[in-house]
Amino acid sequence: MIPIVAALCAAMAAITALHLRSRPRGGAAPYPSFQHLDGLAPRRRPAWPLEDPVRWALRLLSLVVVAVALVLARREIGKPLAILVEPGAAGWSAAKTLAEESPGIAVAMTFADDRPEVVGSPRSLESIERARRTLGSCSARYMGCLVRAAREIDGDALVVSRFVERPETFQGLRSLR
Amino acid sequence: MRWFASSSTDRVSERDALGPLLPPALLAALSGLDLVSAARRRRSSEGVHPALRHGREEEFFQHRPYVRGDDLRAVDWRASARTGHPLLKERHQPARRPLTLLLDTTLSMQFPEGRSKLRQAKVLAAALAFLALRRGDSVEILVLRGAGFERVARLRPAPRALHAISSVLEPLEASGESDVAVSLERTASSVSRHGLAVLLSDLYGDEGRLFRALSTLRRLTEVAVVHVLAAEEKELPAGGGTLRELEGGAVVSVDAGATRAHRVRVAQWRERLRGGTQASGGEFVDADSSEPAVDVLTRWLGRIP
Repeated sequence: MIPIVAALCAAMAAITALHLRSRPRGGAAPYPSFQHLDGLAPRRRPAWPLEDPVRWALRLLSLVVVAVALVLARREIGKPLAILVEPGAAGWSAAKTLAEESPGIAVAMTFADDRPEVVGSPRSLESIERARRTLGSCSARYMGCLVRAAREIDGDALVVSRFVERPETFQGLRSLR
Repeated sequence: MRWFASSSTDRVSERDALGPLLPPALLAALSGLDLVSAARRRRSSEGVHPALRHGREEEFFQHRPYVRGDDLRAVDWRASARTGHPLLKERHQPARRPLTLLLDTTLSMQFPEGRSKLRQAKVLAAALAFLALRRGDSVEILVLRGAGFERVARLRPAPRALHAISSVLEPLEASGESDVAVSLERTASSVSRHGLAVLLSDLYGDEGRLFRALSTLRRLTEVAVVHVLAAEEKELPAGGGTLRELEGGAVVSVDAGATRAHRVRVAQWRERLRGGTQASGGEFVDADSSEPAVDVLTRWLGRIP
């Protein structure tokens, strides 16, 4: 993510620099050399590669802030939520509703009659498919398979369980709730 | 005479809006000029290209008394018989005199609009190259860009000499920023020896270093400096105004007082350049960018230094 943000900032810096670059002034006539004007001219200023470096810096700063905010917001929205419901637990319908109505990526998964059941929000189609594939090919215990599927979609985990499993089962889950 | 040509550049000639560098009228005018050395112009009754050493070939130079060890084949028996003393016939060794053109193409030369200093320098360089090739001497062209002088072509007398000159010089455009003195210092020791080196530039830069570089150059070859300036550089607009430097891009406002002081400074600078160049052993030639090139060349090559 950091290289992308850096590249974005660099691109914005280049674009704003191009926009604000020094251009020949309409009123100033070109002249070969000021070698014999040293000390004679009342006003002389060095030629910056930019017309106004302060303006450029402010513009760049504001664009960088906007870009970073967008990236962070997208990260927050884009973080998947995996709701792992232990087979037989009471919260499946609530988990299902939570996942389906989530604005971001949210997947609820469980096993019903030894078959994996995965539902999610409209933005979670890819995650649903990945979870379904993982659960379908998993030969571990139910909770172990659900944890593996949550790891596969790299989401925060919300576990609905009686927690009779050994604690090691839940290792590797991100933001376990 | 048979002509041969070679050029390190193979670019197609691009004639700009100002026409060819060597138009027929200029070529016709050049027929009356010859690229002879300053020393030769001082001794106008002698043959061309004075030899640095004399040998047995070509033109008769002088008789001198025979001394033990001289080659008997060089004895002029008739003259010896007439005078009663053995005399040797000495002849000139024909000398080649390569021409090295050091052409400033930095951004400051792209002034004024239209017939710029660069254009004038290119026309003069083309004319000098033509004169040198016509008399059988080789021509080397070095161009000053941002990084210093770089060799762009080496020409030898050839049937298509005019085309070769044009194809090298016409595409040259002003670019980069460089101090001519500093660049010349670096290049001075590598120019062709025993020839003529001509620097065509507006000579902005360190005067002291320029004269030192010219002295170094003069130890190897004859030197001529063609100082190309535009009328607008000798005298700023009377009321002043805002100017932008072509090399560097700085902007400055000048008033009427600064304009007057600038005129005096430029005049003094030109005098210093003339005096310093001559003190370094070189010839100094003034060339206004708007002046016909043939006038510059006639004033230079037609005068006795």
